[in-house]
Amino acid sequence: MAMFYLLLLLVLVGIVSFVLGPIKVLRNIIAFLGAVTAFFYFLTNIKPGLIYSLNIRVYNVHFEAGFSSMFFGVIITALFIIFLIASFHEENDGAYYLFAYLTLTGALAVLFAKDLISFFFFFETMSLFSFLMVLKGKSDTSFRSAFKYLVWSVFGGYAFLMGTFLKVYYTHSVMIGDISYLAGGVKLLILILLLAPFAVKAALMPFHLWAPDAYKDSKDTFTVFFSGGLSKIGVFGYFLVLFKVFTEIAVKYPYFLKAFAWLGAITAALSGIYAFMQDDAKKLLAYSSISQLGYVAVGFGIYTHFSVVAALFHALGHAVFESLLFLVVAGVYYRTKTTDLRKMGGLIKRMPLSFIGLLFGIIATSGIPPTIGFPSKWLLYEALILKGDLLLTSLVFFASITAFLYSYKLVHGIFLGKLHEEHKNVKEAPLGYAFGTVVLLVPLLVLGIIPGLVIKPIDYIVRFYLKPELGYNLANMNTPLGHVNFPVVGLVMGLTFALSLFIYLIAGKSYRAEQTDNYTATEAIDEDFELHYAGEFYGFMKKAFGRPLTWSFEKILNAFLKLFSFLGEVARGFYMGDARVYLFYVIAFFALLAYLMGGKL
Amino acid sequence: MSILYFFLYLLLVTIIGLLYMGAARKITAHIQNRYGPPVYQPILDVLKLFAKKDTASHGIMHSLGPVIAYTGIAATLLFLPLGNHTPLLHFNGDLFVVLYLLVVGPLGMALGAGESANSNATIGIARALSMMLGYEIIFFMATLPVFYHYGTASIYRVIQAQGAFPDWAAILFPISFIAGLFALQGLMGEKPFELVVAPHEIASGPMVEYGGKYLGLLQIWHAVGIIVETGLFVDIFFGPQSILWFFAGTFIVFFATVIVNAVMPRFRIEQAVRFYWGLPLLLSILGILQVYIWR
Repeated sequence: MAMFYLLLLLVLVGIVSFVLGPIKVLRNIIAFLGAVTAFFYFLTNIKPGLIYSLNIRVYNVHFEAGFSSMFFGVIITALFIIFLIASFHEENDGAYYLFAYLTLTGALAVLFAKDLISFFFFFETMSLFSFLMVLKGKSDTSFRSAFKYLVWSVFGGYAFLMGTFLKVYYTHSVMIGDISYLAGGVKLLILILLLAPFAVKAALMPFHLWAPDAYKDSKDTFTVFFSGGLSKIGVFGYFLVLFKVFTEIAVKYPYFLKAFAWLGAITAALSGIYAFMQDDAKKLLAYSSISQLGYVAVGFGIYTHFSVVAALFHALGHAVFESLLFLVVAGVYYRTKTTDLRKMGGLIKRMPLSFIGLLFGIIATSGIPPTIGFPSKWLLYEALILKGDLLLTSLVFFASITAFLYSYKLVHGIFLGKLHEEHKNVKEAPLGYAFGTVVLLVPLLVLGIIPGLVIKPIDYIVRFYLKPELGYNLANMNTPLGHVNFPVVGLVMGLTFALSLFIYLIAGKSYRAEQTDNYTATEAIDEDFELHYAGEFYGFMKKAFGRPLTWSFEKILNAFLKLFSFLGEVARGFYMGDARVYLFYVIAFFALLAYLMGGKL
Repeated sequence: MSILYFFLYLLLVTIIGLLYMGAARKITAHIQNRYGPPVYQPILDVLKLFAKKDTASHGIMHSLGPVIAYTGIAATLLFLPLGNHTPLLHFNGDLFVVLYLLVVGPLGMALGAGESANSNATIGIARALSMMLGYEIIFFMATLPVFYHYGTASIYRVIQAQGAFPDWAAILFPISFIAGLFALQGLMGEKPFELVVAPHEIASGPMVEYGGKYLGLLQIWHAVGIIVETGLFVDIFFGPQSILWFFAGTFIVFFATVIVNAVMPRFRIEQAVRFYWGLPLLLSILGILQVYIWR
């Protein structure tokens, strides 16, 4: 029952916030309390192995909580609270909170669903209401972006439904369960059809086209939940399909897994490149989010015990640092009303807390110790080398270098460089944003130094399906290739930092220079002098990449669009709207018929 | 006690690194038919820089940038085995720990230089980061066959798995070794890949707004960086060496980069990146094919 009560609670809170829409304070309090109650209810009452089925006359909806649903459920609900608190600073109506709560309901129900039909139903619920959330976004292009998102979601949903029907046709069961005994070709088809919606949600190339626009055009605080939380449903789906539905996939379809891993690596690398070419902070982060989820796909594609542990750990890391980055950018937008990196700069002096949040966020995104991004990267590389696919390893490494590029562009564009005249009086981001920033910094650092805290539950999820190869305790991790003690890495960095700081402090004094006190090769500096180099930041890389940079999936789709509209034009050409022409068609048809019948008519 | 040891160790390597820098100036001077400054000149320079009393800072991140830079390189050094000399710590030089710690330094400097709001500095940073797409990936791909061959990701175990002279990874994997040499030139930031500093174009790039103790910290960062970068290369390709031979090895590698530096002009940035995606990439892929054929 607990699962049902939880979902019911969320729906009710959503409806109440909708009804209370105009009374802002009361609505916010109800919405906030609802989310917090849901979170603690989830933590205390929902245990792995809990089963519930709901009879709605025509159909039995089956729920079951597993270790994986617990893991993703906690991430999603926690991020929902952070999103909610920040969102109170924005101008929202009651419907916004209704949609938000129904999105969360759909997402949690997906985690609990035990049969494919209700899985499909809840998945589509989530997609529909998150579409409405994007639709309520801030800019004029929101409609177009939301529509794009809906089309892709529907595409994924129908693929899933088709896979479900095929499975039911062959196995006579709608339950999520092993279908390894099916014949070869059908099984592969079902596998691809079932994976499609999750590839869309986790924005795996070439299913990613909706993501940059939808992330950019939805409201800033919702993007925190959208990118950090909802994309986890995609990762959960990978896990569900690759482990629960197909258990012998590594033996039967090694090439499918290989292709999946390569697709993930290509996603990571290409999105990384697109990310550092963007001039808009949210679009840059959208591509970075896609890129980071590429590593997760790589981890699943390698399909060994600790590569999957790495993938799930990275999914958690992604939830922490991408949400943090989006939250900081949301706070910056709240104060400056822009996300264009060329129009900001020097905000470190006005928004120090946001700067610290963003700084640690980018350090984690780049995978530098001692943050949450490092253990998963380390495990992933060990798994890759152990697997022996060195070219794939190189591509993943290339992708992680692009992370340095876009990370620096982001932090430089917003916080470093010259403070613009119109931002002279900007204040620190308000409390709701600051709260989320501080809260997210805790797991970011703690799990980077003591990853063992969550490696244990993740290991419980994975060890049921794959032979355990990873030795670990709170501090250490052992793979067949190597061994790292994460607190020692953190400790050494701390000690060397203390030493460097000591050198810095005993050396001579320094004074604070003015912004315009700069070396410019004798050019005079006044207020109009452009010191902030932010536009075309990696402009020269366009030359280095050359033509391939202009290729895109979108162009291929547009070519299809052109082809279909051309065919449509041709087909339309037959309908002239003139009675004599139609008469001619009828006569011609009978003449043709007579000819074909050989005059027997 | 161990803290003091660790402090002395860092001090010693920093001084050796500074001497390497002095040697580089002397070698370059001799190639250009000059006398050049004495070998210990960089040490005097650094002491002078630390003693300066009137240093401009553009803000807290600008001040902390060089501190973070030296933190990163010092931490890397402590995880890197110097030949047979086991490092201070009980787990021995994991490749990925070293590679990721190696990035902390440039990141710190980039953050610091960014706050100075000097476009020369930022252009230098943008170049430095873009260059990583060239040399870093080649360096990684060149070392990958070695780690795969010996079945470990620990630098220490790779060193121990190699034998005396003919059993070096450099001999076993000559193609990867050559690709690694190309990458090292970029990793060290020497000509023809000296785009980050490029004194004639962007006024020494990221360093343009740094003086006094900040420049001093960046100097000792660079000094330790020389040892770490060449040391990583020597560890992976030249097998187990005693500490003296290890430094001899790093000096030979360093000498090679310096003489190339002395006679080369400078690439444009997109030329430099594209250069790495040409021949060195091909070589490193051939190196990977070689290890597959051997297995």
